[in-house]
Amino acid sequence: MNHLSDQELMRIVQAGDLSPASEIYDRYSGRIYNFAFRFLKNAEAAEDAVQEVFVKMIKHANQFHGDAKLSTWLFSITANWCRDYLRKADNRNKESEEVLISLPAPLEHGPDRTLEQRENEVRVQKALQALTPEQREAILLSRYQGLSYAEIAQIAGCSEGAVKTRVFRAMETLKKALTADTRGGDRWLNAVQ
Amino acid sequence: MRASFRIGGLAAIALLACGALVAAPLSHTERFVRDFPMEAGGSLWIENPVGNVDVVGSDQQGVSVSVVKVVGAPDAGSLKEGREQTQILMEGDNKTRVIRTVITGTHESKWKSNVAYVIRVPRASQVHVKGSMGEHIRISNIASTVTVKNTNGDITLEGVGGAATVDSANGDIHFLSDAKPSQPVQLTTINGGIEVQVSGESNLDWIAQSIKGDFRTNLPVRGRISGNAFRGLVNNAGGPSMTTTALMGNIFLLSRGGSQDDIRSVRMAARPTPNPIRISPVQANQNIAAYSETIQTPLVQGNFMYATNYGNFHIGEVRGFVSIQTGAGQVTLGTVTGDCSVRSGGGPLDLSDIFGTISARTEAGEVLVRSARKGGEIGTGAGTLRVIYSAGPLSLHNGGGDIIVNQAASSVDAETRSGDLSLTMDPRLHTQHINAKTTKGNIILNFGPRFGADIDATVLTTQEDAVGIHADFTGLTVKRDQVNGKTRVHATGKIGGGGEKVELFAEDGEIQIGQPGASR
Amino acid sequence: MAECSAMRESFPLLLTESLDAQSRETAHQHIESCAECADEWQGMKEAWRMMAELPELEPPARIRQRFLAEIGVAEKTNVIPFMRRPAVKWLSQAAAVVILAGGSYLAGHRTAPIRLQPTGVANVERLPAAIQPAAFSIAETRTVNANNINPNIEGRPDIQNVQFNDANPNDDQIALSFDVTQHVTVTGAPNDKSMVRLMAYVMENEDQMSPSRSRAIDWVKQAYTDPSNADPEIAQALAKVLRNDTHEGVRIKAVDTLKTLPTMTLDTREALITALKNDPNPAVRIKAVDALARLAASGQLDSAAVDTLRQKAMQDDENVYVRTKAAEALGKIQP
Repeated sequence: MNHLSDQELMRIVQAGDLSPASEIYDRYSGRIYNFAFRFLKNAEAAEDAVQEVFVKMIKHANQFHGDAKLSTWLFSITANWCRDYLRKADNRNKESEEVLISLPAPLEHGPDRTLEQRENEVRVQKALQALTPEQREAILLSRYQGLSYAEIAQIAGCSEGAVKTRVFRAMETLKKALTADTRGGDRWLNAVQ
Repeated sequence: MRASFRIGGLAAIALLACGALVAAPLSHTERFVRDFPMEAGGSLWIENPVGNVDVVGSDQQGVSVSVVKVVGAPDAGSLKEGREQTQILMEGDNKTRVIRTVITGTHESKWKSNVAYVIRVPRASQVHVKGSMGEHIRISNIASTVTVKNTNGDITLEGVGGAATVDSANGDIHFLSDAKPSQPVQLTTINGGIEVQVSGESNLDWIAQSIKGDFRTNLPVRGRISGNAFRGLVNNAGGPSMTTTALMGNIFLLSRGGSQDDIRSVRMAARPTPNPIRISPVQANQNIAAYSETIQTPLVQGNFMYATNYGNFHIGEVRGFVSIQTGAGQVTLGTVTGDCSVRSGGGPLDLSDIFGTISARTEAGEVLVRSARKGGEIGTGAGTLRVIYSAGPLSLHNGGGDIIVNQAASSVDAETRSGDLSLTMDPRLHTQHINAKTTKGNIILNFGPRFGADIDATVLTTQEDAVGIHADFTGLTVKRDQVNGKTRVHATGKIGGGGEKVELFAEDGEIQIGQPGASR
Repeated sequence: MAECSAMRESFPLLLTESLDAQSRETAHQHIESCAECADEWQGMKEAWRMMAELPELEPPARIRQRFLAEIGVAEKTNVIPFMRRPAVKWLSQAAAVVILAGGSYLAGHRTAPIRLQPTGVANVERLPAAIQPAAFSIAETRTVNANNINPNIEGRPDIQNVQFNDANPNDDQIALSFDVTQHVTVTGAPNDKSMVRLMAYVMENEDQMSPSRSRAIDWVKQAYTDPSNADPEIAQALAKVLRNDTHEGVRIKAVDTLKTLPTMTLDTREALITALKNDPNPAVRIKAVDALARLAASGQLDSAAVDTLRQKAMQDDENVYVRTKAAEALGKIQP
């Protein structure tokens, strides 16, 4: 299966044969999961998102036009799902502070490097949460998924110019939060939240 | 090596220790030993609500039960009654041995008894202990399954190789082993701490949960922390689960014989930048860890910002702005010269004198604001919401409970899902915009003699002939009709020559508009 | 400078290398010649670089299993269904309990005609036959001393226009006025049995009476928190309100008053435990657990209550503050 292109796999699914499902899942689940998790900052919701997106992909396979990019279509579905999720008021407060931490055995790694890495991770996550959902969506798709502004515009349902502005504003905010002398950045972050 | 790990002290446990009983004027002590045969792989069940239980696994065959029963009483009659009503039953067979202390007395009985067991069983036996009030339960050297359920008292499992489940309310739990666990272990306590010591090479799937406490370890751990729970891998995957829940205490996962210096806090690792509140010299002297239970200080010279999973705040005065986020806890603030922002996941808010704008919300609990000089947005998910004085636009929201404003010198926008709304405007006011809504309760609106307004009041009620709207003045036009099976009473009109819009809506209740002291 | 702001807007494109060669060249030239833009560029580059610190996460294997199971594609590995306990379920069950309790309460009271407001028309003909005005001896007198009244309230007297009066807070007399066939005022000490019964009756039936300008619970709190006026029947009436009233504000007041009452019966203990377990309003649950904490400290909690507190403390979807209060109550237990 893994020598076939996305389009070829989708054509098989559209014909009624679901055997490519696991291959497609394996190709894209990581990207979808990471996007959803960084957008919603909630692992449980991210899991639900992945599940729903791929099920929808199979159930509505006929909506996929063979010449389009599968990734764009999948991210479209994901972005819509995440937006709906946030819209439900009680979900707005469920962002759990899920931080990956690593406590190595005392003498294993150079302590400074890992501490700094961990600190940065937290800072980036906090800064992302300070963005508006539109800005976050745009920057996550641009920075981490490598999508073009044209593709992001399609997914977000706005113009390319709007994407450019959103990405720029997002980077301005991130710049302020991540590069100011560390104390200043944190104080600002804490005040913003 | 035993790390000290309690947070705060446990409430004093009334111990029925033998020592205490000896102080009773009369006491009687019985000691005896019973031996029973036990097959390999048999089970031992012990139920003892009033004393210690010690179980030791050995290579000897059979079960040996050694009992010390002490009864204390103020007089001979009670002593006799106590001895009779404290029974020790030993039942069962070669496969299953059941030992129970049965007390038939009541809370009012004048006597007290204590029974302590020391039991020797074959190592391969299963051991099940149910206790209530004792000083300790100790189980050691057992290779098979162990379960313990207890209320008060410390529990120690030492050298237990099988699956272990411990459920305690008020007591510490110690799980000590030289080996690498190969079976799941689940330790739960509400008001105590947990200490686990295992071989440094153990592979474990560690789940730790605590609301108030910290998770500390000197083993290599990789995992994720989310709110009150941490889940991670110790060393490598493939090992059994180690679930440790100490709701109000700390959890330690240590390597047996390892160094105390290497113990690190998991919570601190997740939050390397401490909260930026090093402002007041008073605070600089306090060693405020990220998980202080109570943050208490009389004065903060400057801004105060703090975010925590669980914490109580008692702050006298803040000469700056306040931004507090707590997952749960009480927040009490005296004077705040700047703006005041408080978010609590649950717990009461008590704000005295706030000079700036308020933005305060708790998901559950009472809110009391004595003086909101610039008004603001105040809400509770449930509980009584009371503002004594406000001089700025107020927006009040209550998910379930009454709203009371004693003196509003400003506009008020108030809504409660279920509760009464009682609003008293400053008597000197000429007019002010008011919007009050309750979907289950009454509205009482009072104002002074000079108050003018355009009133629009609606009551929806199931009582067909309800008057619905009571006013201490004339000039309201009242219309009644039926809406969806309920009676709707709608009153409109001007008072005091007219003024700002006053919109009132009460469902399943009544509206009363008037001037305090006016005759009814 | 308009040129600078337009330039800066395209910095992110420069970072993703999405600009054509010409535009890229122009941008770099500008950066070299404009100190401020150079600063901005450095900052943005740094932030972009730091964003790489976010780790790539691996989606848990169970999602794959669930997905394939849902679309019906066979998998070789064991499919372990992932079960979550929705938080909403607890609340909807609790709501069902409250509604049921409220429903039967109302059903019980519908046997007598209930009127919220006097309509001005004498209701004599609609009073149920069970009314015994004679028990109150009110036909002739208007102001009655509580001592002269039979403390057993028989039938379900339809009483209206209830008002409370504590004219002189310094003496031990309070007054309760209402209309039965005439307007009646009963005066007495709070601990006169008749007064207790009347107060309890009013409190339990208040939502069908008029006017709702002040709540009987407030009066009860005023008159009965003094230990010398303690009466278990008042506590019982409050417990009934706590169990049955559909107004959350009223239930909050009921449990708050229960907390302050000096006497506690088995019935009231049960009401507190039920409120802690089932009341959908978290403020009610907070006060219920506070009241139970007081009982715990005086050794009045049985093992069922202790079990309820334990379950509450460990309940994942309960409000954290309620959970910590339950834990604190547990810590106070005396045998």
